[in-house]
Amino acid sequence: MSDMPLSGVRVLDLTISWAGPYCTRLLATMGAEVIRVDNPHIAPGRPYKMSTYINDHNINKYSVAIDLATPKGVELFKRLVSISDVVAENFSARVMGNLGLDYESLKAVKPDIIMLSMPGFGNSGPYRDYVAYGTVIEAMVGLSQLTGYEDGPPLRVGIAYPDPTAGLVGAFAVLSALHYRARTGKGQQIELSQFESATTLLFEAIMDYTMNRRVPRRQGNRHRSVAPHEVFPCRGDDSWIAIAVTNDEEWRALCDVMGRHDLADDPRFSDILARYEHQDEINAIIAGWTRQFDHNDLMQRLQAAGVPAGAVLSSPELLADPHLKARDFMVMIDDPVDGRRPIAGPSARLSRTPAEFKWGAPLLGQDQDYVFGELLGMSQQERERLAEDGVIFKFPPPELEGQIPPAAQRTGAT
Amino acid sequence: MTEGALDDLVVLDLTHYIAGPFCTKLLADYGATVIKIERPDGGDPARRLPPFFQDDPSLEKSGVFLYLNTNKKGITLNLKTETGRALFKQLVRRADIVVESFSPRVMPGWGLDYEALAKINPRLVMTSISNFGQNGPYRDYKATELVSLALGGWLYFIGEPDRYPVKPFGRQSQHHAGLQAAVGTLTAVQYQQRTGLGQHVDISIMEAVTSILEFTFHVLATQNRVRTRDGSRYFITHPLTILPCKDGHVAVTAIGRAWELASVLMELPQLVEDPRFADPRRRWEMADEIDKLMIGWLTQHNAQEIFERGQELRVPIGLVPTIDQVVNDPQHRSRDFFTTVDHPATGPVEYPGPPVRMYETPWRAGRAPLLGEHNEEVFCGWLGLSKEHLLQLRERNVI
Repeated sequence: MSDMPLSGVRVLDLTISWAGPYCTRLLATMGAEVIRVDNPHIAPGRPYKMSTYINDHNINKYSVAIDLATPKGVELFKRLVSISDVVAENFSARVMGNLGLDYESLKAVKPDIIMLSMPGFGNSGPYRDYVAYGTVIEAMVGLSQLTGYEDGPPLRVGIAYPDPTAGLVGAFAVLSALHYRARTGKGQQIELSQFESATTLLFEAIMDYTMNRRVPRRQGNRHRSVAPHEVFPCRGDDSWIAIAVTNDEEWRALCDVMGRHDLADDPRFSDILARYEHQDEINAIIAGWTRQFDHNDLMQRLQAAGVPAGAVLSSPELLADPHLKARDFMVMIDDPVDGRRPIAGPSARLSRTPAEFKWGAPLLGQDQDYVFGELLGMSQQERERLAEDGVIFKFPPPELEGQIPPAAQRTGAT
Repeated sequence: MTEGALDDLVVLDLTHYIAGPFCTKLLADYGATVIKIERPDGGDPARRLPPFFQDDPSLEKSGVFLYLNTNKKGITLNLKTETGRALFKQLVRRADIVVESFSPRVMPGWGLDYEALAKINPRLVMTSISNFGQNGPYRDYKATELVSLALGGWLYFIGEPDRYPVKPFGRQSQHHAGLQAAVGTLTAVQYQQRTGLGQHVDISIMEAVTSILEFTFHVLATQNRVRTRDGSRYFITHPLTILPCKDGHVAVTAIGRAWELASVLMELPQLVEDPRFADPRRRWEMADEIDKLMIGWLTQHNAQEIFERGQELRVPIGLVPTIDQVVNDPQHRSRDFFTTVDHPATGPVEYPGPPVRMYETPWRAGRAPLLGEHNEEVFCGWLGLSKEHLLQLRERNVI
């Protein structure tokens, strides 16, 4: 058994998309054995999802395919539950119950099981059966209404941000439940409404409303109280720098770098309040100046003078960034479809037990020998009968015999 | 009285502002004993952040501070003094976890780096949250939310294609880093409980952002596409966007099976009949035409109607509410999501409730501490100092 924080913890992963798989991936990179259980009829033998972006969320995991819509499939799944610690799912609220796999059913098989459910809106309430995507949740919690230009419409924030939020909250809850179980022997049911977890992201706006009945409006990049606080154009095509001046000292330092001591002495800009009132003028002056410079060079100059400044990095710039390189942040994985490429590494670095990036996403059903044969001790005949009944399938399927790409072999990542 | 999942854990909390306190709030809300250690003069600078209760800028009325520091005990301690640091080390002996969010030079400068604390308590898990991590060329750079979003790579692709990048509302990079820190901390605690060995957990706010950029690195590697601003569109598929309706906006996701269902909802047979829209992988290129058709119908109907009828048909539609509408949302109300917290400085106020519901070990509601509120409990009760000693320490500005 490898010596990682979650060595010996086995997770059955029924989750799909980003939120759920991100949660279980966090566990998988810290030593948990995460076994994906998917529907065999999607695409036997092909990578779990042909979209390799989704595959990024399924690194380090094992894969079996079981048809849970059959009684024998449910029975087989329960056998896996009896040797597992955690079951994670993000189906809509009724699904697991309809399959006969709700918490009470799983508890009957394994009394200390920890079950994490991630229904979009929760398993009660008027929206219980509503369909949630991260992008729908993002809007519903008020984030979109408050993001955007002062003179523009509500904007999405690019990524489906409620998803990694829910994934992290889910991992937190599973780790808490494991901690409690070690102390007491008890498992539990965990219900994570993505709508609820994402609503906490708006806490500043919510508190202003509940305390003062005030409703904020979109304000671009403006800060509540300090200025300048904006994104400024730099040399080149679509190149920007973020500058945030939070006190008088930083203002004087900025003026110094700009060679504009007249601005430092200008009464219009003499203190925080004055700069806030005149930020349009200040921003115009700064923008006229920043245009001349490369945004990385300018950031270094400003930071050296003690001014908070950051180049607005695009994805190729992130790959070339000296700080991320010095910290070895990007990790190479072997994806079964797209081959070797960089993905973002761990966002928590543990000094004694760093995160492991062992292999790329599994092919659907790839680990049947290990999971059914070794872990459950099922005979070859038993497995063949189940395959004939369509409950599981033979890997690799005949049409893919000899065609599994080399990346499907379990190679270590670097 | 129900138990908390983390009841047996003692956390020394040296964090301030947003990211660190959000991490330790999670630990406290789910049962851990969290001792928030603040500087005697003014405490956590977050106490100065608006919005204030009734716009009264008192140290006990910041809505940001009040929300982020629920369920914590509050003590004051001046770590710039040797006596203060000695008292801290005494507390470290009894702690499972230390969380701090100073600039990386500070704790080592005080002789309170991980190696020093591990000598006192080899089991200790120490979590350090900083803008750029504990090493690297940007380690000592100054950052605010806007700067972290810029260097993390997220800011670049939020906004309209022909305008400047614009940030998400709030302090999302710091909030997110706080969550990453909570997960990293509990992961290290798993190892600690099993082996008796602690470790150092290093969280960089910049890397927390870069680790959630979704398909950004994927499209760069496989299609040589640089992810950039696309308004509310999703850059790799359509429609997944925000569109105007009669009385505001709605979020429309009509991918996969929802495409056909959306054409029924919006009475737009053209969507399924026009051969230009037939290939789902090409709809992103036809986004302008598709949006024009949908907007034609949407602007004839109110958001609430679109939301209800759409969801009935299983089309993932969302409202785009203002914050008062979110607080009064019927789903939140039916599940009692908002929780009333009473506090001496504000009286009862509604706060957001549990981000996750644990059935055996539920989340607990609680309030933030007053500055130095638990000095006697901790210094006298835990460390055995006399009250007179406490008064002397106060006079000397150690607490």
